[in-house]
Amino acid sequence: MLFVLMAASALDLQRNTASSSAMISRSMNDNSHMVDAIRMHMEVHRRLQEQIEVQRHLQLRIEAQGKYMQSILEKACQTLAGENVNASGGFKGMPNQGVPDVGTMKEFCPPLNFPPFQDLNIYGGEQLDLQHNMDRPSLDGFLPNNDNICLGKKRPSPYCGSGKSPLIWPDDLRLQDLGTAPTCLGPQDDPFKAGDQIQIAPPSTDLDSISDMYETKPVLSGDTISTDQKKFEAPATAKLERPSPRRTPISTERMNPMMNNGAMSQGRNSPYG
Amino acid sequence: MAMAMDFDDFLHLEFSGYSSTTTTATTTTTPTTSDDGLACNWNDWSPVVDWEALSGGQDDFHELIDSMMDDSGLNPARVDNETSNSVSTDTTMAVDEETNGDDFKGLRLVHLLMAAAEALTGVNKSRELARVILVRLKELVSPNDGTNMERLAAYFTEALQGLLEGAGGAHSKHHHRDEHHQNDVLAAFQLLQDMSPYVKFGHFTANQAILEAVANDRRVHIVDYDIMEGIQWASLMQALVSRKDGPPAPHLRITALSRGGSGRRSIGTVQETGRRLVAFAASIGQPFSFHQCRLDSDETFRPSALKLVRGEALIVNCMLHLPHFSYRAPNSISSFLSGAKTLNPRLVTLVEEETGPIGDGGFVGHFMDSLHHYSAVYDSLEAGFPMQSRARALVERVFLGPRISGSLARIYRNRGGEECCSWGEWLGGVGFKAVNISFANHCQAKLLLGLFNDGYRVEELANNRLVLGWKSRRLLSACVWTSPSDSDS
Repeated sequence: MLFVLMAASALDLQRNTASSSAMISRSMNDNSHMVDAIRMHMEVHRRLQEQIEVQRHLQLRIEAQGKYMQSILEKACQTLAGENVNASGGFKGMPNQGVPDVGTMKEFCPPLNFPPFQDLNIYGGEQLDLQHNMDRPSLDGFLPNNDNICLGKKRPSPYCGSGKSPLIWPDDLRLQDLGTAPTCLGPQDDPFKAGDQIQIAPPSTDLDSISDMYETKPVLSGDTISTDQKKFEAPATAKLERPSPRRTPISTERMNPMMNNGAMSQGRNSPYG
Repeated sequence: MAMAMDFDDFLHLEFSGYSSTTTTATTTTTPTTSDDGLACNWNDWSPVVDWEALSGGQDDFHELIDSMMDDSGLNPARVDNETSNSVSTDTTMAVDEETNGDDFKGLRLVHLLMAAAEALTGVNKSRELARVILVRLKELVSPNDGTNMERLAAYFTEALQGLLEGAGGAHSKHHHRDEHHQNDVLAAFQLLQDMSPYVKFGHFTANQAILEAVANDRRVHIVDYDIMEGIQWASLMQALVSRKDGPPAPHLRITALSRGGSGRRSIGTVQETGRRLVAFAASIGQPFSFHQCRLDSDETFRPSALKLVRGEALIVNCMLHLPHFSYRAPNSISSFLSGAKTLNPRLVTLVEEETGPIGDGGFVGHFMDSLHHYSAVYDSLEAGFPMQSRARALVERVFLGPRISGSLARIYRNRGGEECCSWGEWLGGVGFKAVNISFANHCQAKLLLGLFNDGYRVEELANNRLVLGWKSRRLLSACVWTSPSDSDS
């Protein structure tokens, strides 16, 4: 250790006594490095900007597709309602047209309080995501919707104000999330997500029908609901306890370098920041 | 039939024997897996434990199949000449260390399926043997429950059974998508979109390329080979309306090809799609008109049937093989693409399924490739919705099951497989020029996949081709081309 220090100071001494011309050339050299660094920095910045733009567009496209899908489903629901009236006693004949399908479709019809064609949520996304979130904490991808639900219902958010596109991702969160990074958010960073989970936990009727869709057993009694609740809580805690550092390397390796820069620029919860 | 009996006996022995292996194998991994019934899909279930590290990367069936194909899958002679026993024992040893009981059973199922395929078509063809193996398989699996591999094996068993009985075709028709109630199809479609990026990847990649190609145009005309529900165009319209630089939203015209005759995409449905698109365009203020163009009765395309307007940027869009799409005959596709070439389109966007290396190109090679492909699809869907087995079962029943029997029937019919060449390569071959995939497009695909599970990946091949894969398997690709004479793009 001592030896290293001595060697280092010897080196310093040597440097300090170097000729002035060498110093000048070195500083010019440094300058060109600096220029390179700035250029690189600007390039990174440009790419990052582009990426944020792409992200915004992607969001809008997903929403548009969801909205369109919703129009298809609504149409199907109407048709189905018509069929129901006509059949007035259930379906006969085609096995696939039986009662379970009616159930299926009902679940896919937007709930009444969900205004059609307004404020694009990814259709079904909202409902399905509640389910995701509770069943599967690791489903990072659907957190955008989840956030939105949370933003929309719990706290008034600037993003929700305009009618056109309420689902804009808050950029800072999003970059992290896209890098699999909800994981990076520790419990204390993430109070409203926790709140979100809690808020959702009491199953509403919509939720019941959806979980009916996804679970093999029909939800009929209070019993089932309470088991559902139990199940929902477990992953929620799992999520909060999820150790953040573990998955960061994965996201690093998985996303492109820009993404990492994105994460770095957050400077939050990142081992690199 | 002594051989068949032996084989059957051996199966019984093996299957009664494997349960002991199961327990040892599972306990070695971690405590959580002991509750196998609850979390049979433990690979992706726990967010805390890095399963991939624990199981040494061998945690998915398609990877197992992968390794098998390296070992023996592409060498059917081995199944022929050696006894089945030796195949089983050596894989048993290989698998013991690093997989759990489910995987073990999965491997057995793969062996049985391969043996059945081999018996159906191989050198030592024996329909009786195939029948016996299929009977055994049916005892072991059901399309509605069990692990991924079990459900997948059930559909493959069914498809093989169809080949055995009706020499293909007739049986697969029975399970056709038409048979499903429309609402089932819709629900499955919605689920598919939520569970996986397949549909969006194809549509968004193509659309981004289109947007870049028509950035300065006032009139855009898209000829769509298979418009389906038309969902691809909602996001394009949205993007056109909101584009900032360049002229205001261009006029968009879409011509959808419709199948003549009694094709399943009858003209009625295309009309319905048209109405829906018109309504959607109106709701966001996109100038839009919709047309249709009938394919000939043999589903071939005549460019003269198309109405073209001067000054329109012509785009040719060809979505094939997305999970919810129906099968289109190769001669129909080639007539469309070569017909399109005579129109000098600004851009051709193509999405198609990726196939793996086929080995000797025989039925068994194709069969194993198909099994590999769908096992990756199943695994990816399971990772998307691990707990919702009923939802997955619906998607599998409505889309994947029919696809599997259809594709096996085709492989069976034209053994030797003449359609091994990808359409992307075909386009290059007939003189289309590659158009680079932009950074934005690549980035979009990455961000899109980021919304789904770990395990999906995107790679760029040959500058003009983006490939969507699950783990080590390539599944879908989107590529972009322009006609050789179109100099300005």
